[in-house]
Amino acid sequence: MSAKFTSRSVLQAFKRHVSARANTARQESTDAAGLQGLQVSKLPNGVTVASLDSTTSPVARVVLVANVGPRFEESDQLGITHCLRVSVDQANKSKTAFELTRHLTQIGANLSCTATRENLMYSLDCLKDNLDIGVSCLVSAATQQAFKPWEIQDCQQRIVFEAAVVEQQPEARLTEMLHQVAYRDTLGRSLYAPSHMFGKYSSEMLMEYVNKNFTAERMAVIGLGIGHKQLTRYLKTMSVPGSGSNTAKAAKYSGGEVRHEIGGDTAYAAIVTEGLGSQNKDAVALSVLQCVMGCGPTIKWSNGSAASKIIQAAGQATDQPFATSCINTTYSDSGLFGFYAVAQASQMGQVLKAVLSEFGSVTKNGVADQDVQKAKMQVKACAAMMSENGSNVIQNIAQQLLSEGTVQSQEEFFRLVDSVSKQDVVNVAKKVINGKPSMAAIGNLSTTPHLDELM
Amino acid sequence: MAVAAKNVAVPVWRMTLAKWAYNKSYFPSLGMMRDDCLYETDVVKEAIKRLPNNVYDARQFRMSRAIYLSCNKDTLPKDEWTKIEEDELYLQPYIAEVERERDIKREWNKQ
Repeated sequence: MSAKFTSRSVLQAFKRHVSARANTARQESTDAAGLQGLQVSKLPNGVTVASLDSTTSPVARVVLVANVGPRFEESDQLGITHCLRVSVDQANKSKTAFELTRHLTQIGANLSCTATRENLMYSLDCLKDNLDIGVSCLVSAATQQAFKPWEIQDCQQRIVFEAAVVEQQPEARLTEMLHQVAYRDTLGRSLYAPSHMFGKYSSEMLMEYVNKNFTAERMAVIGLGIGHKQLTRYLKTMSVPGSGSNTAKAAKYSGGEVRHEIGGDTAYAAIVTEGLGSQNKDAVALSVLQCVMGCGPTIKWSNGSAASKIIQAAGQATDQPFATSCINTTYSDSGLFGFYAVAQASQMGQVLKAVLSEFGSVTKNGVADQDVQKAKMQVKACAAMMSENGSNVIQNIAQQLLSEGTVQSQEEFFRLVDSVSKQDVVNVAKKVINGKPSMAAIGNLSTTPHLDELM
Repeated sequence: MAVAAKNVAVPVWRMTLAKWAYNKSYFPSLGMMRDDCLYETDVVKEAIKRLPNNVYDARQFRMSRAIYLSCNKDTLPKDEWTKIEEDELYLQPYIAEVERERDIKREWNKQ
């Protein structure tokens, strides 16, 4: 069972774009949500291949996903996936950096590298006619990395820049801090390189990481808008850099508190407990609970109190601007469930207490029937709307294929959502909300209470 | 032996001539290798930038030592001269790569 469609979180995966954007301004609506015609097979080298043909759009998307996110970094390799992301456009064994860029611009394709904490996704968007060149560029960039020492040095500058950009965004830093305090290692590893590692990534280090982790059973290639035989033919010459098996260390939730005072007018805080992994049978009920609590305004520029219980609660505690939303981040074997809040520095204490008491009242008093109905509709609508976009569809298929081995269609998902009862929501609420909390806070924390003062 | 880049059989007379010419040259007496003495065109400059640190440092050392010796109109003792067997054409792979990249660029820019 997967609730990946609805992982709403502050977490933003960072994209590294290689070449000029393809001119696909119109969103292709796919019947991919139904996943009819999804074919999955295994290449001779062990890599899983999936494809979903669609005749409505001239754009094809191919994603090569590897289960090699920051989760797998050892303590002396922090930020190495950031370096991998940034070096996607560097020279590889079959093409120089110049050739790669020119091939892609010549066919008007888009090659980017996105990372979540668990997966690294190399995605290619191009027109169907140019798939032969496109896929060869993708495969060479993703599996035949050369990591030339002089080019790695150039990459370090980009890493410094990207880390500096993240430094300017308190919400991004909040997410990293939250994961670090909740999980410590594995899922607590940051998506971005720490400052003590700038300039320290070497060619040998990267090559060793790739050879250890890019193994066939942890990789999959998914094509959207391309036939299965065709995709398999393009991937015939693909070789996998890694060998052997490397099982993931299980993510262990620890909990704790971290605060970072940087001054300013606002404070950002997030409080979570351990949620459920995507394979847990109650994960769908947890998504429904997330929408019961409230995910932010549904009408642009409104204050959202009609749509969201926690916005309503916080709105009664303060009359100054604030924002709050329920977080439900799902990974393959664990998750985070809670909320984040942004408020004026002087109001933060009230806002946090109000929202927490709202969570507490759900465990004590349960939820109303119509809230559950509304939440179920919201979950289904959100899933449906996200599947309008081809790149969301393919990333979703990619993550499901790697973590579960099968892909769930939208009808199955909707059926699961419909079968969630009010009692399920209350049970999962009691189970999750009463867990050990983690808190992260950044900004002007003069009135932000500590975790023990809030609980 | 780094004299022949390709794996072809070199005639004995050719080898002898090469050895004689090498030993008659000035640079081995200063302890330099052949690739230290290459004229620094753009291609060679780019190749030098790509050398690993230890190779680059060794190159710098040999060049500094050679400049010092040359200033004093001196040479190394005969047993420290670079021998043809020890001479390594360390810059050639990098030069080949730079040239290849330039050719690729030129081909692409023709159209």
